[in-house]
Amino acid sequence: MFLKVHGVKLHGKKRLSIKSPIENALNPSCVYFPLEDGLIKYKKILEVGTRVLMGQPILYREDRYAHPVCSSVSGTVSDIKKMLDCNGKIVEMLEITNDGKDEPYYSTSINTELTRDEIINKVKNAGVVGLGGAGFPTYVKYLPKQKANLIIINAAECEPYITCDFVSILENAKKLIRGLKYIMKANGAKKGCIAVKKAKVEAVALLNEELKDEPNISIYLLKDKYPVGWEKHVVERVTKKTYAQLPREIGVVVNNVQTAIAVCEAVEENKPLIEKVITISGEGIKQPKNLRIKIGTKFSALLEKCGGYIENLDEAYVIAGGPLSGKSMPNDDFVISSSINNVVVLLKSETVITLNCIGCGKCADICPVKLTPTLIKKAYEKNKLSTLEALNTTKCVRCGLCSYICPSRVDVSETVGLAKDLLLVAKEVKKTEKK
Amino acid sequence: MKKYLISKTPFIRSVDSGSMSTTRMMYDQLVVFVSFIMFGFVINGLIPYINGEIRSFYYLIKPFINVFIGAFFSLLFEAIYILLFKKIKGIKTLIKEIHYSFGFLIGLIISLLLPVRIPLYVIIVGCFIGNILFKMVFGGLGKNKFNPALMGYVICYLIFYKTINAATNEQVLILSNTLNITATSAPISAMRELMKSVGSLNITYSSLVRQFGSLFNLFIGFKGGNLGEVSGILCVLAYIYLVVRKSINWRVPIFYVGTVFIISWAVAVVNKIDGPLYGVWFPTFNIFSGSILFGAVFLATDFITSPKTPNGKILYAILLGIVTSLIRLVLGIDGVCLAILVVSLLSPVIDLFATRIRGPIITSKVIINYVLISLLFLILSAYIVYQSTDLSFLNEIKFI
Repeated sequence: MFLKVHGVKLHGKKRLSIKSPIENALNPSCVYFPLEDGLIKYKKILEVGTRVLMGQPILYREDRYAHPVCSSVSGTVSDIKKMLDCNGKIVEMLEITNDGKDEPYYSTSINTELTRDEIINKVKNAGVVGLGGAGFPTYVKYLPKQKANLIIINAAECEPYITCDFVSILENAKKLIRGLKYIMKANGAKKGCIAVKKAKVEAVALLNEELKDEPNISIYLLKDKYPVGWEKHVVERVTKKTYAQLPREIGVVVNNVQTAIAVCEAVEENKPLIEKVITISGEGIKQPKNLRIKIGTKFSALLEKCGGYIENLDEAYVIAGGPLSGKSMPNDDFVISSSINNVVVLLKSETVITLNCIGCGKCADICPVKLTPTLIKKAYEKNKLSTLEALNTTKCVRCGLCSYICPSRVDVSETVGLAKDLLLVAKEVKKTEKK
Repeated sequence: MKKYLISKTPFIRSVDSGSMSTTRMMYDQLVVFVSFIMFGFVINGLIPYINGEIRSFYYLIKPFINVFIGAFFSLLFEAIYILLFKKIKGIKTLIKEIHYSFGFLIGLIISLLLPVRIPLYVIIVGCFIGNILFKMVFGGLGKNKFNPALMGYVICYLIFYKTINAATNEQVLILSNTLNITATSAPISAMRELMKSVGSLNITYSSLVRQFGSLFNLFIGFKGGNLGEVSGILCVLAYIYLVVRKSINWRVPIFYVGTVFIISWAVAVVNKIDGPLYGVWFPTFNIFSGSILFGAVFLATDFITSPKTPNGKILYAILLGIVTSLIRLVLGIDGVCLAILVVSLLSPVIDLFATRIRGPIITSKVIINYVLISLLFLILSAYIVYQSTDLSFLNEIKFI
């Protein structure tokens, strides 16, 4: 079957941080955990003033995707503060003051012969969520009773500047493969696949070496394009099949590299999700680096590790997330949650002024889900819901390519995103009205 | 750091790296037009001047004067409009505003669509219609509903019909004398006259093409007509250049010219026109005569009035080819401009159709489009009647 790759080759700029090995930055003075994240509400388990150990559950998500959130340091729950989260919103957060002792709450017990339910339970209790960006609880993906055929580890990392997954593969290839095996066991799948970009030669060579004796696990080479790491795209490439909403429909489970490593640690060491590797990069950073951090650290506390901003920097974008889908922050005191893979500091680069849309259709050409962003923008400006629905606006994956390609520098993707939100809200309203 | 910038995602744009921007796309067209103007100057000015067909220096540099007047008055009209209707502070913003409106292209296209020996006031009127009435009034760059250059040209054609025809014939005569060929009118008019006199079924290579020398002459551009519809080979080179620079969409010209070629070849085969390969000369003649290539590369690809979806663009081009061939083969006039005007009105509908929607199509929009289309067809038919009937009886009516 012929599948056309929609997307563009971007200037990766990964060289800035690709050579630097993971450095530890595991000793922040305070860590913060949000009590709400968008629509998700968390319930406090511990009150202010109590002592907490590293890995002890402090918050609990109570809806149908229930899972605990564990403290990443040991110390005391000192306050509830209003802090900036990585979506640019100010929310209430639980502050934990670090005592620097890192006393673990969990005990390591190596037991390799586990049943499916035991693995799922361990993953759930460790609070492992998808580390690729969505933050979806990982164990929920494994819950369906129907067996999966294929587990895909998504190691595409297609946004520029990000190198944390690549570095994690280099340092933890064995853990990754063991994690993949646990995931395969939890889902009853017989085959595993690691999807890596072709350009990452070192990672591919290392994985090939490690996978010599694993006939069930293969490597799939992805093209060096954006947005090649988008879940649906990876599944379509690897299996040559497509699905409507969740990959589970065609018996596929997709996990991120760091998620697989976290699963491995949760199963083998009972270690909850308390650390992750992030990339701090960009032209505005003195020494771009890959850092292993405690979840909940403030970005400003990590700046020192990277040498701070470059000298004579008057104005810059501090972006939580990749340069194509991230958000610019009003200051650098924001808290890094589990859904952030990188922070990029970019210099101001606007050389072209914004003109009117001339309707060239380049955004329609480049859109990976075959939308027509310029028409959606027009319909949104005129507030026509029926047209928006007719244009399949809800399919948008917010990759940002339409704005990237626009020769008039129009903020297309922003408007399309707003249109999508509008439609989703309208649908919800309709549903509640019917009830 | 003093200032944290806030902006909308994404933070890297292809325009900022200087690879492609609207400004560059517009100036690419200007670069191509310069080569066209040079060619028009050689064919319509320099060669006849050397051969002694043109005596005056004025007519030698007339091609340059035409395009200069076109571009200058376009900019002037836009500047006046901006000064009158927009609140502008300072000369710098005014210049910026004019620069990023790219008005000169409209004037350039109008002057390229008109014959060389046209009186200058025709070009000025065309610029006024195009730039003011069909661009600035609609809201400037990117907001217009019709292609302003085309509107300017077509309305000029309707108003100054006789002047333009006389200028074309004059030019063809000069060219025929220079090149020692027998043609007395532009290729499309020649085809119309042949269709009138011997019937469309009896057109032969010798009766149609011989008067222009050969097909090769047409391909290179030794033919009468307007300043821009010069050279097939230049249009092809321009197409390649613009597509490589991604300044136009590659689909529209290919499918447009392809459709015209196939339809006219089918006509040739059905009518049993003589010649090698079932009369393949006939579609070739069709493509190299008139302004099909010029229209395909510069007018049909106009971003604002053509569909935005890739599939829609193909559909649009095919429809364009069909309408053009119809106007051409049935009515015998160079239907490119009219066809583009008519079909571009359909582009919102084509777009909705091409997004493969299941949802509702907005009926009011469709109705408005169809009303506009039928109006245009009315104008078209009036134009054809005006052209093909003798209206001298009007002079004999006496008003008491």
